[in-house]
Amino acid sequence: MSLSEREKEQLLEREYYPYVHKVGRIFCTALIFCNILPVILVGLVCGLVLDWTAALTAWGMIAMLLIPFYVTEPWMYYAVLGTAGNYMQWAGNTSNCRLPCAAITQSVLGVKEGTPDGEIAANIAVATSIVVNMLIVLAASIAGFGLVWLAQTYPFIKAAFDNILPAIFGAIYAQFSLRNPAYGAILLAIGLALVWFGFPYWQRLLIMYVIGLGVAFSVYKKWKKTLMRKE
Amino acid sequence: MGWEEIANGPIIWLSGFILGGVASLGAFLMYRKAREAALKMGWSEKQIREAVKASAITVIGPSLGIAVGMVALIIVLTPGIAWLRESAGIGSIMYELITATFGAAAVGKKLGPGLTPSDFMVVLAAMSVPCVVWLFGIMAATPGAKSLRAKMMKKDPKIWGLLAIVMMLVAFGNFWSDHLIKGGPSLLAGVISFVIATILFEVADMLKKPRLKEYVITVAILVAIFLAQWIWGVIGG
Repeated sequence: MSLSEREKEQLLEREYYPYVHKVGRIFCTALIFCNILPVILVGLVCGLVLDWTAALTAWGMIAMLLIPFYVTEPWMYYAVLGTAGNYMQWAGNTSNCRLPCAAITQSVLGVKEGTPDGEIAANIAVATSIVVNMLIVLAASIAGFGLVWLAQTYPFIKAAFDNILPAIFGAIYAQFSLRNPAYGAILLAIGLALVWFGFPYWQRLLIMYVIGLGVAFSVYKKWKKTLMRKE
Repeated sequence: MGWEEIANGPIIWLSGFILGGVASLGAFLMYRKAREAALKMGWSEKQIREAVKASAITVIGPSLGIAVGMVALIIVLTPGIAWLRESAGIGSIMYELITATFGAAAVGKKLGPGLTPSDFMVVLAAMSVPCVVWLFGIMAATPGAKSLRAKMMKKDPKIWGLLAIVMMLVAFGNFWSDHLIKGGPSLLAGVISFVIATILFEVADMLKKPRLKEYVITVAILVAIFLAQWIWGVIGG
C-alpha cells in the first residue's frame, strides 16, 4: 500500500531522520579520529615525533586555500543529496561520484529531489556508490605499479583520462540543464565570463549564487514561472 | 627504514582499511534504514534493487577516472598512501597532491626520494588533518539545511525544485567553466560529453525507458575522453 506524500514525510520524521542524524553524527566523529589515526600510529610504531611547527605551517597554507570549500561544500549539494546523502559526503568525491549517482538514481526511479522518495533514492544511491567506488579504488591501489606501467606504456590512455573532470562535469551539467535549459545557458555563460576575467573560485561561486538565485526567485515571484522544462 | 617503506607499509594500509571500513559501515547502516523506510512507504523490492543498480552503474565511469588519476599519487607517494587517501579521504587527486606538496614545502623539501621519515610525518599530517574541518562542517550544516528545506516546502513546494536545480547549475557551471576555458582536449572532452549526455538523456525520455539513464554518465565520459584526445591528436594539438 502506497502512502500519501504527507504520510511519507511523517513516517520519515518519526522513524528515519532521528536515526540518520544519529548515525551521521557518530560516523562523522568516528571518521575525524580515523583520519588522524595514521599520523598517531606512524608516530607510535615508528617512534617518530611530529614537527608541529612545520605541520602548523602546512595546515595554515592549506586552510587559506580551502576556506571557500569548507564554507560552501557541506551544504551546497544538500538539495539533491538529501539528509543521509549529505552526511555521507564523509567518503569524499562528492561532486564527481556521489552527486551524479544520486541524481541519476532519482531520475531513473522518477522521483524528485526534496521529496521523501527523493531522500530515500539519494540515500541508497550514495551508500551504494561509496562501496562500489571503494572496491575499484582498492583494486587500483593493489594493482599499484601495474597501473603506473599501463599509463607509461600507453600514454594515450593517461592523456585521455586527464580529461575526465571536464567530461564528468559536462555530463552532469547536461542532466541538470535539461531540466531548466534557460538557467543552464545563462549560468554557464556567466561562469565562463567570470573565469575569463580571472575571478577566483569563491568569488565566482558567490556572484553566480546571487545572480542565479536572485533571478530565479524574482521571475518566480513576479510571473509564477520556474522556467523548468521538466518539473 | 625509509619514508617509502612506512608509506607503503602495513600501518598505512591498515589505516586505509579502517577508514574505508568505517565509512562503508556507516553507508551500510544508512542504506539499511533507507531500505526499511522505503518498504514502509510502499516501494517494492524491485525498485530498491533498481536504485542500487542505477548507482552502481553510474559510479563506474567516475571511479575509473579516480583509479587512473591515482597513478600520480602512486608514483609520488606509493600505493599505500593512494589507498589511504582515496578509500574515504576527501578523494580529489588534486586536493591530495596540493596538501602533500604543502606538507613537503613546510619542511623545505619537494615530494620525492629526498624526504626523511620525519618529513613524511608532516606530509601525512598535512594530507589527513585538513579534511577533519569538512567533517565538522557536514555535521553542523546538515540539520540546519533540513529544517530550511522543510520551511520552504511548507510555503511552496515548487520553489525547492527550482532552488535545487539552480544550485546544482551554479556549482557545476563554476567547475565546468574552469575546464572549458582551458581549451584544447579539456574543452573538447567537456563539450562532447555534454552533447552525448544530452542526446542519450533525451532518447531515454523519448523511448520512455528511464533505465537507460543508468548508463548515460559512464558512456558519455568514456566516449568523450578518448574521442577528445583522438581529435586533439588528429588536428595536431
